Amino acid sequence: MVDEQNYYREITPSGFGIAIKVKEILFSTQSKYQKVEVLETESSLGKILTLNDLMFVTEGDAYHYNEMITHLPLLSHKNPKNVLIIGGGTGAATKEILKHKSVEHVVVVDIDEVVVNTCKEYLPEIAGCLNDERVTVEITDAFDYIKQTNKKFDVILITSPDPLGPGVGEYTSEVYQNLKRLLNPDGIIVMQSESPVANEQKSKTLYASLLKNFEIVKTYTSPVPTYPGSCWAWVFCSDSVNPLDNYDEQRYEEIIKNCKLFTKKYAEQRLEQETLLDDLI
Amino acid sequence: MAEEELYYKEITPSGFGIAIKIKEVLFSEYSKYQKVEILQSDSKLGKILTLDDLMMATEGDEYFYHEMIAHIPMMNHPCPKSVLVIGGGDGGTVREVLKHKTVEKVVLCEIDKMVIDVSKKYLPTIACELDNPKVEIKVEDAIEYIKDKKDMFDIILIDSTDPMGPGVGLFTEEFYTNVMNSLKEGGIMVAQSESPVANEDEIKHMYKLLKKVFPIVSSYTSPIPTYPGGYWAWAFCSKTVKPLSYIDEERCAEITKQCKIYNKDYHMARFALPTFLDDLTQA
Repeated sequence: MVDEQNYYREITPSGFGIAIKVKEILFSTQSKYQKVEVLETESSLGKILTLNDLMFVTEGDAYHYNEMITHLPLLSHKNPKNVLIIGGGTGAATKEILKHKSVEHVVVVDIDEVVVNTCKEYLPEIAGCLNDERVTVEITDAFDYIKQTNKKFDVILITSPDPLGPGVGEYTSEVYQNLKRLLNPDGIIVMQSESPVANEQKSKTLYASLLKNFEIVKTYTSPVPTYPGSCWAWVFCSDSVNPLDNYDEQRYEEIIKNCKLFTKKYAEQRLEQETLLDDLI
Repeated sequence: MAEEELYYKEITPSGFGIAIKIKEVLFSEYSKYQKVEILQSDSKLGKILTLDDLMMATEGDEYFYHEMIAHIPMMNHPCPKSVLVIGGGDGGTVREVLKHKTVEKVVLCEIDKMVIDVSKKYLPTIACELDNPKVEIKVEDAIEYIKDKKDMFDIILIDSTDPMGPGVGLFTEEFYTNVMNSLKEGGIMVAQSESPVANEDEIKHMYKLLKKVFPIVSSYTSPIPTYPGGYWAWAFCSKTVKPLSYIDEERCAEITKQCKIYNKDYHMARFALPTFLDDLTQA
């Protein structure tokens, strides 16, 4: 929410969070599912999109989150052609994925058309890629989509907090079965797993259930300046592929040229945990 | 600054920063040098210390910073015996340094006695080692203190405030030169170097100065939930020692047991910088 002094403020259950100077509210509406707002900030973050008063994406630091959730799994896959993004209505992850030449088709599933259209209008630099011919946007419930589709994917990214259940850590076995059904052999799933600092209990529940469902479960972290707690974690899951397997120097070089954050060394070392997180998982 | 609806807010020059729910202001006074405040937050961060309305330490997350400033250089030295901490009056850095059994003496050079006294009173889990007999507290200006201390220290840690207010003289070529001369053979200096996403200009300037003085200058980073931008950089500097050139395995295993963040793998990973920060510190 924007307070009386024109600061966007977001406080986690832990009692702390972020504050951003706001110039004006460019757009605010209540969609069928949520409150959708675009704020013009007076900061290096530029415009920001919030959903139900929770930070979703900023022009200025989108790359922190999206380089990390995309390039690590895609570069670990031998030849990623088909990618599914659940909850990717902003286009921020899609933008990174299209940097990979092997990719032929990206399916973006988002329940809320208002989010997609708002991003296309107000955040064209992020959402413009959704008009790319390799991209299909499916406006539907992610849960229904994974149950009904017969498409197969090499990489599946779950980018939004709770697209498949009431909250992180509460995926049902039906969800897991469907996700696995959609994966090609040697497929990879990466999901965001919240801030290990601000949401300890949630992270714990999620890891426990993933370990029951996948052979390989590896966590990695990287800072995301505008997310509460600011240290963010993702989980890499597969039955046969380890993170950074299938190293192809040419592919790395090509991607790294176009990145602000990502290098091979940086990626490798993202998988080293602090003791805190090791204990948690 | 605790405002009416009781949120502590700290906004960087980049226009964004942190907000923390506050229950009450426990202490607020102007020392000779700065405004010193202790706030009781209504959050898992517990009590927090601010100087001139800038976040210094919280009970809840101070270890993110203190473990990183201390153990990265300490573990890279085969036998650190004498350590100088500049600034750091809250005692958190001293506490981490003393986890190393090799240490015989830690000098804490803090200009502001009020910071030390307030920390001892309100932040006992952070200031707990300040009365340790190995610690010598000098309430002095480090700029003067360091001038005649040739070849005295194995490790020097600059745990300063930001490059404004009383800390400003700690970000100069002259000061860095004196620091280098105070290091013994094989010595290492680490200085806090601000947030890579909120203080780009300060970082650029600082690394440029450091490189004029020290033959070896590297940067490492780690997340800090309550510092603006969410993560922090430190400069690792030496005449002869490269980062990661040595790690004391035995001490490392011993100290990891007493840490929440630090471990060997995590240490090894600190020097892999995101591309944009690499550019910033190499400029």
